[in-house]
Amino acid sequence: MLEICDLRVHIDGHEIIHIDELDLPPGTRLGLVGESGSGKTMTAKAIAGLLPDEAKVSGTVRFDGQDLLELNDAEFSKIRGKRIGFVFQDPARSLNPMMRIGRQVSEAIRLHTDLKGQAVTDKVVELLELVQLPDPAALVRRYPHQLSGGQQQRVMIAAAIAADPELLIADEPTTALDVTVQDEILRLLISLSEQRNMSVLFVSHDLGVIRFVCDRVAVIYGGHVVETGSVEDVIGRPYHRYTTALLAANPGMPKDDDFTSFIGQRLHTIPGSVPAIGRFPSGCRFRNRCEHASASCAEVPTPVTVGDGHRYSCWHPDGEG
Amino acid sequence: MTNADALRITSANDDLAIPAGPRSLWRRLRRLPITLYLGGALVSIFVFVALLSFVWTPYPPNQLAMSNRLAPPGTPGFLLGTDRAGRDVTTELMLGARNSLYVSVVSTIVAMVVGTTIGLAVAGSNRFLQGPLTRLVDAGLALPGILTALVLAAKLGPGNTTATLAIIVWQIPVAARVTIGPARQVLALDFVEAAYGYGRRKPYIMVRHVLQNISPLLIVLGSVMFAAAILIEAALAFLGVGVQPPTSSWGRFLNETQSLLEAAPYLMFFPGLAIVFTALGFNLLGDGLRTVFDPQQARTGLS
Amino acid sequence: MIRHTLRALVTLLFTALVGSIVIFALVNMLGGDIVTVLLGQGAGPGDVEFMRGELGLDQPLVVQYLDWLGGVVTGDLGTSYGTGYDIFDEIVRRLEPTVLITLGGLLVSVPLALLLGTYSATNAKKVRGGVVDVFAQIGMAVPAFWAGLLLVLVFAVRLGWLPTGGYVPVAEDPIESLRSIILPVLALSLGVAAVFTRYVRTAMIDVMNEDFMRSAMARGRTRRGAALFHGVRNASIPLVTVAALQFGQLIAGAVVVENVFVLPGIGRLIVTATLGREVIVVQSLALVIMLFILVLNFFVDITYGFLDPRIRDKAESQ
Repeated sequence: MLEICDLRVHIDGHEIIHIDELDLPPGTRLGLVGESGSGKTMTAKAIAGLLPDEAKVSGTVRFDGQDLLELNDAEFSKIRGKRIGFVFQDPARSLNPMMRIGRQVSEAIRLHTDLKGQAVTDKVVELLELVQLPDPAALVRRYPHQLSGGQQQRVMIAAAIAADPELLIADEPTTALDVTVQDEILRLLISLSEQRNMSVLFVSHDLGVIRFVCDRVAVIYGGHVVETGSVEDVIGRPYHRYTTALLAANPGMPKDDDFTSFIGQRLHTIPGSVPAIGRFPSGCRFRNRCEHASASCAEVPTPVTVGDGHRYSCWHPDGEG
Repeated sequence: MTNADALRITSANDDLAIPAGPRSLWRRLRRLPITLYLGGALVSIFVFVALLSFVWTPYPPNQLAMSNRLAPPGTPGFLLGTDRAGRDVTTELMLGARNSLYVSVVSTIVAMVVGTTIGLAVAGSNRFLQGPLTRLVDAGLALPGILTALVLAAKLGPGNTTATLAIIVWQIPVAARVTIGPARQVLALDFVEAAYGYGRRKPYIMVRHVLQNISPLLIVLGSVMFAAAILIEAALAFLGVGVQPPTSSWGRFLNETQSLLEAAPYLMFFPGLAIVFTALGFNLLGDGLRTVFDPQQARTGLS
Repeated sequence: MIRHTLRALVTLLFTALVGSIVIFALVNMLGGDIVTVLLGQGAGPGDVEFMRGELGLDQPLVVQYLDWLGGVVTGDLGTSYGTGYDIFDEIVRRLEPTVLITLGGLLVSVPLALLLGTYSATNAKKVRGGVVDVFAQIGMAVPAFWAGLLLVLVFAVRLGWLPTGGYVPVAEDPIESLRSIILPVLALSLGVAAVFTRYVRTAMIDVMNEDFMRSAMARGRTRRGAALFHGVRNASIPLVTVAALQFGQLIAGAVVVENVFVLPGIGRLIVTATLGREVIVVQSLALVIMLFILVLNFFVDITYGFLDPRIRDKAESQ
């Protein structure tokens, strides 16, 4: 349902995002994973039409056949909320502290449907129940500061799905929350997605979370998608060196679920750090941090398809000699 | 610390970093805000004219020429005309500039020195005292400058000294208040603790570290205070409570033009515009400096 | 909410106290003897002694101060030396024009600033927004008395539409009364509106950068819709407190403007008294004016407590 073709985003003359191809079939949950500075949030914003004015975008983002990039702000605003919902990272800041919860949750309903008055309030209560919040009727009149972080995020989710969108874009929805709460929120997202047959684009730097929530994953670095495929394929059998590096750097992700294999081992880190805009090397963007880089990496690697929908772009993938 | 942890310690916005700006001097000068240039130009003109008046004015100060009163601008020998006592307008303006400069410089410097010292003292005082002391400073802000000036003028009599003193009394709490917040912030920084750690005493820290760190802020404050001083000096002179004859002042000049609105309506423009341009100049300069010192604010247009 | 109100009250009392001490100190501890000032140069020692007794100046300073404060509460502010009028009565008599132009100034400058400031903020990156900001800058540099003169020149002298000065009480003739305060109010509003516009602009730009604006747009609001329904309502609450800061400027402007337009208000009273070296009058007048400002601030503070749900609901959530 979501097809991205040759998406390029330029800021200040630098090309910060270049995605040749990325698909999200209906009813799927796709994870977009990468370090901070990898461009994953920018990509999500580009799809949403929420990039800053200075950014220049080209390419196509086809949502159910319609190219989103051709829409102006007014047209796009009809799609946002109604067909695409959003959940952002910090619920405390993403909710208006001076507006009652009920009003915020119902905003998309009031904007996109003809419901009025009591019908709207009923729908809001229904939504709050759906996200498992206690005493929804009373909650409608409360303010965000009266809720805990986890509850606030549930409110955000309720608000995001209020007008029954087909796609939900979630940008690090649990990063700002306590670990114990994270689990509940993630489960909630999964169940909502399955109940409503709603696709999810889940942006995160945490591979563990992505593995838990998503069916498919796209690994992104320097604004390029370096590997994509189903979660089992990419995490179970990664090819791109960045993917393997990410996996190795995350101690919670033993390749064979055997934690004892960690004892006595050194923690892997990826040498160097993510460069600033305009400082990425030509060709493969990861090559100046890759142990396996060679001269040929100065050329942009061509994508290689391996297995069912599993694609990577690397001259020296893992598994090679 | 693994990379995974490093990934978690990131800013919420997760935007890609923006690279550094241009290097060449010319480029950097061009990127300076226009307010800086405009303000700087106006202020320079003001200071120049004021200082010039010490050395030269078209006519000697207070030269009356009753036969030539109310000559319109463009009359030969009188570029901007004469006032109702036959004094050359250009000369009057220059002398007025001198007076404004004097009052503003003295009052701003004194107020800033005293105010900043008080502010630093409050910021550095122990935790329990800080709250009440800050409130005390806040209370000092309650009196509008003009009231202070009128009270002083009633007691001490009108004049430049009174006006200057009044501005000082009025602005000291302002300077103190502006200093307290940032000073406290700097004091909370780690490197200050480190300084204490290797034996530096408080006064030294205050001057060397805190003051140095907040100095951009103080410069901006100074500019704004200057503008305020110019305006209130003019207001006081206008009311007759400020500088007295024969010393010239824009404010008093403006007062005189009020009775001449029919006979010589153009006269009110000269001192009026002088005041506006000078105050505007200092305000713009302050804005420009603020932009230079804190580009973050500049991008979002904060003031 | 209660705590907030109490805190505002304490601030009011504390500030009033400090302010009164400052005024008192300025009068009684700087410069020469009050009596000499009041009586002028030609006073003999006998007169001076007598006066001192009359005014209670032989008492210790603290007692004098408390007497004075007590007088404020009871309405006994003393009498003018020069013309013998009772200060309190005179203040009451002169309240009307001052209150009218001050309120008028508020009514004109606040909505104007809200409009212009919001406009400037939503067009911040375009030329239009910048132009408004430039005008605000200029407006800040224009002294109220000059604005007054300009307005008089154009509307009274040249066009003859409005009077050059003088005041007509409302009770006498509402229309004429209105006509007599239009120009003063406009002159007064310019500077205040300019300053306030910049505050509004900043507040709006701040708000627009907030995360919840992005959420609103994510639900389907256009940029303008988000600014209107979320931005303005959020920004206006802290702006209420900023508006309070303008009271001081309004009063200062009123003092000056009353003199330009010859309005028989408190501003004119205090200036005349100052020029006449009526120290006692000025001392009390300054206090009264300051209290007026502080009380206004207090009410604004309470209103803010009502408006900000985080403060209002403190009782509920605990």
